[in-house]
Amino acid sequence: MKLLIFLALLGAPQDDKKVKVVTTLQALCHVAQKVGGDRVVATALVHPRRDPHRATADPQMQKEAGRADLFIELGRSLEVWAKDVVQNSGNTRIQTGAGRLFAGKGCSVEEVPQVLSKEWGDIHPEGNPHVWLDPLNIKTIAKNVAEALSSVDPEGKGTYEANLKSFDREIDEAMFGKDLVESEGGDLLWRKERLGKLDAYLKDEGLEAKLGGWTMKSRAMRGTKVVSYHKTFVYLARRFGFEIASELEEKPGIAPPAKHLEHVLELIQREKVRVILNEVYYPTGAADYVAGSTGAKVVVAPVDVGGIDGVDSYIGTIDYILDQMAAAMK
Amino acid sequence: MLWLSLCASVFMQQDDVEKLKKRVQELESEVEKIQEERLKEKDQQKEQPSRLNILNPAITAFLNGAGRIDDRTVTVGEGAEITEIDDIFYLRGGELDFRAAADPYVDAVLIVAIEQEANRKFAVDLEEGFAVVKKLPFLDEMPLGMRLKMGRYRPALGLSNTLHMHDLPWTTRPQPVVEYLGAEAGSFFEAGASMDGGEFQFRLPSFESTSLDLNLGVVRSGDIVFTSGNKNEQPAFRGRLAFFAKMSEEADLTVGLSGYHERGRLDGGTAIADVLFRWRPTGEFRSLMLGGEFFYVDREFAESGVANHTTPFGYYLFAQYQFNWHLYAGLRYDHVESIKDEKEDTRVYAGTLSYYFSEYVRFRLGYERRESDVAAEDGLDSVFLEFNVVIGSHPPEPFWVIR
Repeated sequence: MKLLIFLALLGAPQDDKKVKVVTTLQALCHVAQKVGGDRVVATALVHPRRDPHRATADPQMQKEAGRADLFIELGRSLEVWAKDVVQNSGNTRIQTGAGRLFAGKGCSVEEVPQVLSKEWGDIHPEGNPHVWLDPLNIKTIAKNVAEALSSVDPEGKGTYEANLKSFDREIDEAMFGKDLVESEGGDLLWRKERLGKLDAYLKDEGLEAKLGGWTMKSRAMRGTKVVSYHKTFVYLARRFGFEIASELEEKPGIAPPAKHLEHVLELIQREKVRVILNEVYYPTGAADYVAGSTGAKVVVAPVDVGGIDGVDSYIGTIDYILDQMAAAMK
Repeated sequence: MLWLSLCASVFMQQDDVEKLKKRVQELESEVEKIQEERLKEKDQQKEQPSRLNILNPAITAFLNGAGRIDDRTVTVGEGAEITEIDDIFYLRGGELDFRAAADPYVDAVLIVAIEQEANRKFAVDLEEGFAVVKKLPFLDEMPLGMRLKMGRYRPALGLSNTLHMHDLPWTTRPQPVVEYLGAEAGSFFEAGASMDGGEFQFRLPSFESTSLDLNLGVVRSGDIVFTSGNKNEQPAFRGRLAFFAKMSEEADLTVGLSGYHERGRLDGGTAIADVLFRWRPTGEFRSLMLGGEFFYVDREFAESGVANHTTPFGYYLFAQYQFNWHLYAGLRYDHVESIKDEKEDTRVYAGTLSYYFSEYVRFRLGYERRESDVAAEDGLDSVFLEFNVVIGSHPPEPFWVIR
C-alpha cells in the first residue's frame, strides 16, 4: 500500500510542473480543477461576491494571467475587461490559439438580441451570458475545458477525459438522482429532458420513484413565478421550470428606478410571486422594499461558486439556490 | 392440433408485437437524437456572429461638453489670440476610438479627437495612434512579460495623464498637470502630455498579491511644456515604476514614481510621485478613492534672451465617494508653483457631484475656487455643468477609474 502511495505521489506532477490555469469566474476555476485534477492548479480572478460584468483589470490580475498556461473566460461579452488582462499580461502563451479558451462556446444560449442597441440597456450581443447556471451548459463548459487542457498538456489527455467523465456523472446524478442515472444513463435522461419528454418517459417506464436530484427537488417550483434583480437566472429558470416574471432592473445594467419598482410591486401582488432572487453582489435595498409591501421573500442567491460562505462547489451552488427557493415558497 | 397451432400463432404474434415494440422504441430514440441534434444546430445558429463590423476595429465615440458660469471675465491665450471663455458652453470634444488586433501578436489603437478650442472653432487632431507588440517573432516568451508600445500616446507620467477628458473624475484637469505637462488653453480644455515615441513595458518580480510594473521609453523631445523651447534635437527619456498591492478583496493601493528627462539646448526634467487607495466593498454600490500626485520640475529656460532656471513643485490631492449606483461626490485640492517663477502660487479648491444615468451617460456639477498670486485668477469662482456620452462599446477604462 505504501508503495502504491509512493508511486502515486511520484506520478503526480509537482506544483511547478502543473498546468497553470487562470479563469475569470470561480465556476470556471472549479470546473478546471475538477477536470484537471492533480495535473492542474487553477486560480480565479473575480471574487464570487463581485459582479463579473463590472470587474476591472487591475495589475494583480495581469500578473496572475502572466503565469498562465491556459486562460479561461466565459465569453459572450460577460467579461469585457478580460481582454485587457490578457493583452497586458505579457504572456505570449495566452494571446491566441491553445492558451485562451472562451468556455461558453457551444452552450445553449437565450436572449440573443435581434436589435443591437443600448436603448435596451447593457445588452450582450451574443445572448444572455449567465449560461453556467444551467447544469447542461456546465457539462458543455467542462467538455470545452477538457479539450483545452488536452491541447496545452497532451500528456494528460487520458486524465482529463477520465475526470470529465466523472464530472459529467456527478452532474447527471445531481440532476436526476443516482438511482435513475444508474438504470437509464445520463445521456438518455438529458435527451428526454431537453425535448420535454422526461416526465412522460418516467411515467411510461414506471421510473418515477427513482427520480431524485434537482429535477425532483424543483418539481414544486414548476410554473411558479419569481422576480430577480438582473437577468441572471434565465437559464436556471428554463432548466427547472419556473418563470422569471420580471426583473427589478427595468433595463439590464441600470439600477432599478423607483417607478419601475412600483410596477414590479403590483406584478408581485397580481401574480402572487413568492420569491425575489437577489444576486449576492447586488444590494438588497430594492428587493427588501418590494418584499416588504408584498410578503414575498428575498433569497440572496450566489451566482458564482463560493458566492455564499461554505458553498464551494458547482453542485453546492445549485443546491443552495434551489433549497433557498423551496424554503421561501413554503 | 388446431388448439396447438392457435397457441403457436398467438405466441408468434406476441413475439412480433415485442419485436415491433422494440423497433418503435429504437425509432423513437433515433427521432429524439435527430431532434436533439436540431436543437444543437439551432443553438449554433444563435452563435453565428451577427455584428456588421466583424473583423473591423471596435469603434467607440465619445461626446463631452461643459458649460461654465464665472464671477468675472475669464480669458485664455495671449496677444491677438486672447479669448474670453466665461459664462459659455463648449462641446469640448468628440472622440473616435478605433481598436483591433492587427495580427495575433500586435494590437493597434487609433483615437481621433475633434475638439472645440477656446476660439470656438473645431480642430481635428490625432490624439493617440499606437501599436503594442506583445511578442517578437524570434522569441517564444518575452522576458519579464516585455511589451513594446510605439506611436503617439499619452504616456504614464503620473497617474492621470493617461486618461482622456471623458474618463476623468473631474470636469477640469488638476492644475499641476496643466502647468507642468502642458495645456493649450488652461484646465477647462484637454490638457496633459501626448508624445511620439516608444516604450518597453516590463513586469518585475514581486511578492504575492502585489505587482511591480516598469515602463521605460524614449520620446521626441520638446513635446512637453517645460522644454518646449527645444527643437527635437535629442531624444528624451521617460519611465514609470508602479507598485500595486491588493490589501484585501475590498481595498488596494498603488504607488507610482515617474520621471522625464531631456537634454538639449535647454535641459529639463520632472519627477512625479503618485499614490492611490481604493476601497470597494462587495455587494454594495459604494466605493471610496483617495489619491494624489506630487510633481517636481527642474527647468532651464530663456526669457528675453536671459538664461533662467526654476525648480517648481506642485501637487494635488483628491477624494471620491460613491453613495449609490448613480451618485458620486468628489473633492480636489491643487497647489502649484508656476514653471516661470516658483514664488507664484496658485491653489484650486474643487468639488464635484457626478450622476450616472447609466454606464454610458454622465452629468456632473462642479464648483471651483482659485486663489492665486496671478491677480486675474485670484478669487475666481466658477461653476461647471458637464455631460459625457459614450456611443458604442466603451473600451475598458484604466483600472483605477471606479465606474
